[in-house]
Amino acid sequence: MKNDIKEMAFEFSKAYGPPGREEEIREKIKRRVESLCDEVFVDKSGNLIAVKKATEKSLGKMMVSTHMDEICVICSKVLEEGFLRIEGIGMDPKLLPSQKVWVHTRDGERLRGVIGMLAPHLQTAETKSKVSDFDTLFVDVSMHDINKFNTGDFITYDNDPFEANGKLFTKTLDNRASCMASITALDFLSKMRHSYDYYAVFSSREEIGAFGARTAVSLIQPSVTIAMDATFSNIAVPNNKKVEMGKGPVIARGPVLTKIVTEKLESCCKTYGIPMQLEVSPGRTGTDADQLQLEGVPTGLVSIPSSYMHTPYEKMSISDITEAGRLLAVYCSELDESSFEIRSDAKEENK
Amino acid sequence: MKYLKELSEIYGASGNETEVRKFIKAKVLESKKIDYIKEDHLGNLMCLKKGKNQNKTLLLMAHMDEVGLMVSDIDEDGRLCVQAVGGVDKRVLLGKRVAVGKENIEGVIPFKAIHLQNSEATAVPSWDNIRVDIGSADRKESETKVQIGDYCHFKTVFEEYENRVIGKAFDDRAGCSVMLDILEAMDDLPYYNLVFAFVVQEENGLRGSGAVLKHFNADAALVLEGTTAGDNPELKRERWSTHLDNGPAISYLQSGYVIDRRLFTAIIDTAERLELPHQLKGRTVGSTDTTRTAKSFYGIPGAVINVPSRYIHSPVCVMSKEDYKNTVKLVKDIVMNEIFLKSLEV
Repeated sequence: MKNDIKEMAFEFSKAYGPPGREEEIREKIKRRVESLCDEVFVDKSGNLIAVKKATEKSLGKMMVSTHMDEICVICSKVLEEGFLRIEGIGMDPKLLPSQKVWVHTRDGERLRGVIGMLAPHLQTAETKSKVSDFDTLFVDVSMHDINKFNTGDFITYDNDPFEANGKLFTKTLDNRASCMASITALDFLSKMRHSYDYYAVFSSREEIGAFGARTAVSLIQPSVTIAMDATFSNIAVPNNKKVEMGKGPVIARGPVLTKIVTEKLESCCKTYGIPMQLEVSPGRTGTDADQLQLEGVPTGLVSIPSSYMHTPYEKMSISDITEAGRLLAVYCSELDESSFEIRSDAKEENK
Repeated sequence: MKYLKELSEIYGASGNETEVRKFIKAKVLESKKIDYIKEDHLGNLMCLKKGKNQNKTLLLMAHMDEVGLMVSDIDEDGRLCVQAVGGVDKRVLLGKRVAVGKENIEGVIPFKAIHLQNSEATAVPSWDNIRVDIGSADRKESETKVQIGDYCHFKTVFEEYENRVIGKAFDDRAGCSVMLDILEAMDDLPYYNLVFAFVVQEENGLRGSGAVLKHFNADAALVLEGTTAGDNPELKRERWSTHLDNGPAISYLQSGYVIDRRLFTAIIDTAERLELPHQLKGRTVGSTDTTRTAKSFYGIPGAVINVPSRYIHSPVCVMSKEDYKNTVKLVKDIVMNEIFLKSLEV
């Protein structure tokens, strides 16, 4: 395998990329996929699209959408005394106190900030009973010239990834892990025969509504799309079967997801001995899939089990990411001219 | 602040100060400026530097320990239950990196994804939902790496900027660092005998410092602390404890002890003579080892000089380099002159 999962995870987690500001992470992914693909380009929405053409006459396009943007906070006000007031995109304010962060300034600098928490000595019974919210949180930037900061500066976590017992602990595994899986699929495909072009879309702006995926699917007009994202594992979600980390990728069933795609994904796992789990998504999926389906193409959703989503240290198993990549590659290689035939009831009767 | 980075990054919660003590002892020995070194059963490290006048002894004191966590149980799923060592606000723990056990293995204090939270969303976390994840599959696997009673420490990389330093445990490695700086730069004999006491277990109830008095006939104690700033935007100015960049903070009253007026005045007089910026600590909550030394054995009088630090007892503290430098200047002058102990002769 050309691209090592752990290495990618560490590299990607350090790359900046809030919604609409994906330049840095896009560049890092681009460098890894260039040698694996026939064509790599960036579209108007900021999606990175990497195309691996079919090894024989192309019968169609398979698009895999993995968002590369990350959750963040944003500076809403600059205080002269050396502090910034903030608002969040997808962040849990409870986890922000006492974090080191990066402030990405208008001039392109990456400056240290510290989200402070009043020492317990100075807390009162009243303040002790409350959790932090965006009304009270602030970033201490007193180590820099305050004039460098502006309202609208993006702020992201800064922390060091680590691996323990085959588990990755780092920020932005949602959804950079899926990006890694799609890159891994490209790695696998470079040694496989496939008659569909593989379009790896590293999509933008998922965390504020999956706009990137929506425009990419319109542009590409694929025969089939697969969205990939993180899903909750090792935790009881009421009325749901518990997903377990390390037991393989998770295939979702639900109205947004097209039956022929889901069934084929499941049968690929069986045929090739890929461990898999099932989850249901009776409503919207909360992923790129919701937008992809609107284009009217068959849509599937493959997720990677994750713990502690949207926190500074999300957790995933390396093997789940590798297996998800293998599943995508195998699925692509199994597609043929009849894969997406519309078998209407009328047609059945004519037989 | 030659050693502040290392001092800040070393792990040493109360009762687990060995690595801090080893580091400090090595630096003290390297300086070749000490006449006598003593370690006791508790883990206190005491270094005597004889003065020009040996009829009096000043005890300079800083604590080596920091706040942290202790493993109290291991769950079926391999995650560790922990309890606080010292005053830890549970709200600063979520999403933080920790070094676990004797081998300092990697761990993290996770929290449920925001999408799945119900009552947890607005509740202060409790020890029931605070866990340390070390990546183990189950209890058995965790037990091969961690034992009940092992410590967990905050893991924070120290950083230096033009006017600020960022790191953990400035309470009270800042004090330890000030003492090492003064010792290393000491070209002349101090005015009186001087004991550099690096003490243990301050954070769990001022438990180490009292025993130091057994070994030296000290006339007074001067405690060096990294103390609360509280100059955060959510606190009104009148509720601040200290303000960064306003200079070393001098205490006049703390929980359990009224600072000796003569010593307090001697510090202020020195700061004024040197024209050093300085401030009075604006809040009286919290205590220091002076309380203990004043209550132990002969009850020696004491005073406290603080380096203001924001967000103490959390994984990330912020301190002003100017305040630190001015603290070193102030303390150095006090130990080289007679005014501090002389003030007691009335």
